[in-house]
Amino acid sequence: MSITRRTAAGLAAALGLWACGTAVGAQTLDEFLTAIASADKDVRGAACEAAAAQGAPAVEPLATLMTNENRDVGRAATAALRKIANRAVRPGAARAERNAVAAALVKLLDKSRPAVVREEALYLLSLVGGDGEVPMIAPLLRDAALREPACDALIRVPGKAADEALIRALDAAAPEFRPRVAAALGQRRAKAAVSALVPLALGADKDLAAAATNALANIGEPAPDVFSPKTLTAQSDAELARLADAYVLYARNRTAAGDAASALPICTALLARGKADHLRVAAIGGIADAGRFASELPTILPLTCDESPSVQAAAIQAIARLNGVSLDGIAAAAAKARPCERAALLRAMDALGTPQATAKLADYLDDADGDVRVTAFELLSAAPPTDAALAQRFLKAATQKTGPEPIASLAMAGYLRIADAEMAASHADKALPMYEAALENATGREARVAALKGLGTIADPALADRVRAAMTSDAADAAAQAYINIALAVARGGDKARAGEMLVEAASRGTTGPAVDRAVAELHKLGIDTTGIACKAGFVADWWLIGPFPNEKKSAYETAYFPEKKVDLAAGGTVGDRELRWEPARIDTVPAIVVLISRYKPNQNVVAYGYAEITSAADQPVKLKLGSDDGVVAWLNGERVFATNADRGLRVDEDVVETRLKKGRNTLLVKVLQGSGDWQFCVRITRPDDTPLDLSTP
Amino acid sequence: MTAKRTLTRREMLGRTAGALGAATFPYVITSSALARPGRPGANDRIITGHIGVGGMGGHHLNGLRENAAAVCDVDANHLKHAVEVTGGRATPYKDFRRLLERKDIDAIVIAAPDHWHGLMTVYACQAGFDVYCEKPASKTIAEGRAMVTAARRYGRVVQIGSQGRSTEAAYYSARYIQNGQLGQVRRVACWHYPNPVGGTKPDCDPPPTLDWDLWLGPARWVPYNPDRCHFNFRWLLDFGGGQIRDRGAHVFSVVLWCLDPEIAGPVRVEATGNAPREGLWDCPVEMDIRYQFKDPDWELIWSQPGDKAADAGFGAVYYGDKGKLIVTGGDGGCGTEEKARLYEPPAGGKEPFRSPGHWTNFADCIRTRRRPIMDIEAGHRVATLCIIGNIAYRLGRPLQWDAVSERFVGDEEANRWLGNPGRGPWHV
Repeated sequence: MSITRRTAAGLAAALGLWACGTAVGAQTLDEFLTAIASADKDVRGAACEAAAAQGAPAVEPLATLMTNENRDVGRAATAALRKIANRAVRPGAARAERNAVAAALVKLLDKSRPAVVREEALYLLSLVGGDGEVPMIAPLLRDAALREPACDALIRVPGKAADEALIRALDAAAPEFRPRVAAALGQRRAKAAVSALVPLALGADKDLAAAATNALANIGEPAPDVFSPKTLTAQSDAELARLADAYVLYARNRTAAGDAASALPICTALLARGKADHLRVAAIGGIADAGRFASELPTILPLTCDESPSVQAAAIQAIARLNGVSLDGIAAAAAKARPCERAALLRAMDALGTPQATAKLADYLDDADGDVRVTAFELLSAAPPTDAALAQRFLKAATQKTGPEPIASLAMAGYLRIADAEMAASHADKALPMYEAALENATGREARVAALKGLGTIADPALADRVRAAMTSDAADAAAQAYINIALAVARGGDKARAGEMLVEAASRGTTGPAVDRAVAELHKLGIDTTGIACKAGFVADWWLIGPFPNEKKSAYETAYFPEKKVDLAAGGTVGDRELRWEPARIDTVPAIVVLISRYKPNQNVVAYGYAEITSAADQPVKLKLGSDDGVVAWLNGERVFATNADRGLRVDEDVVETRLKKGRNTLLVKVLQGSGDWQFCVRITRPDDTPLDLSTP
Repeated sequence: MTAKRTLTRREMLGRTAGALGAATFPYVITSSALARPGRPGANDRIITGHIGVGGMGGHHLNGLRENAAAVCDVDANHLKHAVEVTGGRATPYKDFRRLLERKDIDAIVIAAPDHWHGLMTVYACQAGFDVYCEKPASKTIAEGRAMVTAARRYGRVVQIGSQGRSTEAAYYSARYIQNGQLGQVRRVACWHYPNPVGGTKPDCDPPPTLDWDLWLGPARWVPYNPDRCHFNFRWLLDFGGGQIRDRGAHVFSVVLWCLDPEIAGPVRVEATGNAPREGLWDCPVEMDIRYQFKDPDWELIWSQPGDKAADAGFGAVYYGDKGKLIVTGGDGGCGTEEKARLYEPPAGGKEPFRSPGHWTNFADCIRTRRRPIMDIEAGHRVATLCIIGNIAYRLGRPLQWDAVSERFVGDEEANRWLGNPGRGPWHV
């Protein structure tokens, strides 16, 4: 891999090998500068890559090259300068090396230099500078052209000198730049700036006051004259919207500093004052940080029943986070709370995340209030402990079908999760009867799917009939997956022939999707020919196709082209000046989707026809199931049985027509409409009970 | 708090969370999904405001044209087209702060260039909006952390647009890997074709239709150049940061999703690359980045071009004790091997969340107030990989990373790269 080569080169550079006698590192400064100024990009590039070791002496001449008329030379010089700067402050670098580079960069700040050079020098000083460089950077805060990069540099340079320089600039900088300076002190979290910022925050200049207020919030040192319930309450709505974040941040920083006493009243005031739900959420979060459970619960608890879901969620989380919160405390509060609040307290209990809290939730499964019971079932069923008594309680609730509607499905979900946990613990003997009971009693598809998944994991061949029966249910795909697992178990037991039959059945009876694909893949692994499976699954797989016919402005839906008048597979027909012929197509995939888009040109705003003959052993009722992209019109034995002019994607079996096949030969003609995008269709025939008609046997 | 308040539109949407499913983002909802009972009608449509409506932002707007009430761009040409796309219904803005003053909007869609993501998301959260923000989440570590903080502080839903997580392929891959089919994954090797060389145009005056200063916003001031503006910004380290960020944000998103969405971050990063030798664009043409993770020990490798394992421009190979899995792409065109697609986990096995679609998941979460599949915390962790990889390349030395404090260990200069001071009023 190329990584090895380049990683080695990178490491070599990092270790300074360029300076230790390698070919490039041996360049003299003049040779290096000549190479950087070369018109040959490769000479230039190689020099640039090795620039770091040239150190401080190269800084000034590289700066001169930055403005070279050849822009690529200028860029190479800039890149080389950056490499020198980065190397000078690598961990373990000699202080003298850094000082030399920094000093060389400071010289580039001279007014005689082009602006682009001075800006680049400030940028590099932001990365390598220290206290010693600050006196040369600070005056540039008064230079309209350079104050922004100078400010950037002072934000990044560590140490007291930068703090002090910015504090001085609060007075010395141009008035319109002072808000930026104030913000910079906030970004640095400069504690020394608090006394200078407070009067600005309280001053008349609104922009400067806002910047100073935000800076003070960032710094987080005590500033009670700026941040108090009183000042918050005095803010206009517009100002509060502008400064709310500062109040919240200040409160959080005070809490983090151990000064919850300052923080709590501010958050409480914001909660009372805030109209927008997101501000109340922020206030609640601040109270959760600073407050104690015993004292703040009365404030927070009513908010769990607020109209705003965001506020509800924040209040519940806050209760679980309040200092001094305990399970007993929440339970005691729940005993006295009104139902809505009690349900929320259950969620707070759950948020504690302890096994004891989970166990406690079981106490509320029989609560007098329906919403509380639903909440208890919801929380407990999401991650229930593996407890046999609880499992029985879930099963009972799932089968009783009394009480609030969601309880039965929640209880069944919990019951199945316990079964899954037993299974994961290799207790298949305990899990099996639970899955069976679940399948028997499930009222929803989700539970049927989970139960079948469990039975499929156990994969006992004795379960085959039961699982097979579910392949016509709304959980057909899960049943097919389980049936495949059982088939594989049968194969492992040595009966490959039976396993093959079962897999064919799974591929045929499942609707579509991964189970069918998996069954086919497993058949391949067993070495079983899968040709004709589509027919066994009831799909019409042998077609005659003809097209394309025009469909401008969807006109073809009502236009009867020649196939609708007479199907003559040998003759074809003419559309405009084009002669069209019927062509056979055999589809071997499951489902047997006939893709038209790659077959015809043009393939937008057109239609094509498909014709098939189906032999039926008897006169019988059937379901004709169609899927198409876009619309489709179908004729069975010459009778128009279905039509839609929809713009849609293909879904297998989307349209179902209850009709009859006559004994012997039946003709099927479909017109598949196409606007734009994909263009395809499929047809399947099943019995009225949805079991597929095996079309592979005439 | 007993005073009766009038519910806002957003609260109304949230109140119906239990009964309603996904939203009416038209281009992500399949006809079958729309046919499900309980879908919200037109009156429940989520109203969107769009910041950045060229490129990917234009794509989002096309899909959400019926939802969009406001559009914002610093390029008047983009803005004019965006208003036309909405049939003239959306109000145009040049300054996104004015758009954030609207009270009738539920969610903000941010598709401005990368260097704006952090600020705009923070401002939007502070103004009470839920946010869909294009990937990569942020330009710097500090911005990313500020985005997470703002989302949490104000209880906002923030989805990052690494839509690969919402693909079927990512779901199948995650299910396969998390259920131990590869054993313990020891290495994930990503491949991606190289970054381009280019940017030959000279600096010049911006066109009169473009507010260049506002386009730059928090970025260091540089002259206008069409090769560093629309779309092309991604080839500059100070702006987009190359394919490691553009596509890496997709591939890494799927990697972390498959291995463990809770992965905090690596402990070491090492990068090499070869810088282009001509042109304005300075992202390395080829590059290799190696991230080392601890507990469990594994490594993530980003290589351009790397070892192409499948017929796709980019992707990743997951190597485990028991086998390997190739996952192509990582964006909306994510693909996986058939063995993962056909794998059926046992009862009690791990079942990763199956997203109904990236937009739909976001819309669902607006109603349920749950965290979306590519929540901002996940987006920040993914962006962190891209960011520290580029820093290691630029510094030319291996770096130790503390994922908890989100700082480099023992390298003070490297830590100076973690934030952007900002420019003028634009800083987080």
